[in-house]
Amino acid sequence: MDYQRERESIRAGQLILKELNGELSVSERAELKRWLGKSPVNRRTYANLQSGELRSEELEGLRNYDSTESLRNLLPRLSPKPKSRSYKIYVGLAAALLISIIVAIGFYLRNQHTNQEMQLSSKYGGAGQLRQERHHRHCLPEYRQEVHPDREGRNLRRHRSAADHRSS
Amino acid sequence: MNNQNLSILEHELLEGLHTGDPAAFGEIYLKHHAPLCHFAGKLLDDPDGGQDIVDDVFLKLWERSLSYNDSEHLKAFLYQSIRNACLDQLRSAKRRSLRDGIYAESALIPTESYLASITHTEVITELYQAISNLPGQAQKIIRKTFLEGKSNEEVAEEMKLSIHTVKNQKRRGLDILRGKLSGEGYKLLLSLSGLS
Repeated sequence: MDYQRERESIRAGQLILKELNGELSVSERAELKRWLGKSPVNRRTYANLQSGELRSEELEGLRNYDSTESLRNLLPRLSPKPKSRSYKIYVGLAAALLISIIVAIGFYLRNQHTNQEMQLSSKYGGAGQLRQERHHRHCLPEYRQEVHPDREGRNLRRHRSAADHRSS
Repeated sequence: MNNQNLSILEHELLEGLHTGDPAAFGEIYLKHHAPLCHFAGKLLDDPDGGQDIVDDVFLKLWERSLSYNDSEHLKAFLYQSIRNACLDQLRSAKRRSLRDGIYAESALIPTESYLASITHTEVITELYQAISNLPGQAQKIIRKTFLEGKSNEEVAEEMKLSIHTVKNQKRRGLDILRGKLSGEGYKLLLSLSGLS
C-alpha cells in the first residue's frame, strides 16, 4: 500500500508551513498551487490556516492529552515481539543444523551397512555369492536367522552341504 | 538540529520500531499521540472520543512487523488506520441509533474532509511542537501569555517569579521560536494572542 493520498496531504501541510515560514521555493509554490487547484476543500483548509481559524484553543487543546500517562498505561499491553531479523536467522540456522544432522546420520547408517556387506562379501567370496545367499534366505524360512554373525559360517555350511547333497 | 541529523534520528527510531524496541516505540508514541488524538477527535466530532482508537492503532503498529521507509510513510499508515477505526465506530453508532429507532444523519467521513484534516493536523502539530520544544520555564511562560492570554503580571504572580524573570524568559522563548518559525509562521503564532 503506497498511501498516495495521505502522503499528498502530509506534503501539503509541509508546504503550507514552509509558506508560513517564508521558505517556499518556486517549484514548491507551483506544487502548492496544484494542490489548491484540486479541490475546494483544499482551498478552504488553506484559507482557514492562513486567516486565524487556527485558534489558540486548538493548540492549547493538544495539551489536554496526557501522552506520558497514556503511554504508561499502554506499555503493559504490548505483546513481546520477536526480533524479526534475528528470529529469522535463528530459524534458518536451526533448520540448517537439523538437515546436517539428518544427512550425517543417513551417511553413517549407509556406510555401516556397506561395510557389513563388504565384510560378508569378502568372507564368502564376492557379491554374487552373497546375493545368492540372500535369495535362499528369502526363499527358505529356516535360513532367516543366518545373518547373525556367529551363525553365518555354520548356516552357510549347512546350505552348501544341502546343495551338494541335492546335486549328487 | 539540522535535517540530516533529524533524518538519522528518524531512521533509527523507525528501525527500532521494526526490530521491536519498546524505547523507539515510546518515542514515536509521545511524538504523535496528542496530534493524532486531536485528528481522531475531529473525525469523530468529539475531542475526547479518539484516545482509545489512537491506542488501538498504536498497538496494531507494534504488532505489525513491517518496516517504514520514512516518517511520512509511518504517518500515512497512522492516519489511515485512525480513519478506518473512526469509520467503524461511527458505523456501529449509526447501527445502534437505527436499532433504537433514532434517525441518524449519514455523517460518515467524506474523503476530502479526511485528507484536509491531515493537512490541518500537520500544520497544527508543527506549531505545537515548536512550543513544546522550548525549555521548561520559557515554555510555561509562552503558553500562559500567548495561548492562555495572561498578562506578564498575572504569570509572575501565578509562577511566583519576578516580573523581570518573566519578561526575560518570554524574550528567550520568542527568540527560539523566531529561529524555528520564521516569517508568517512566527507572526501566526503571535497572532494567536493578538500581539502581532
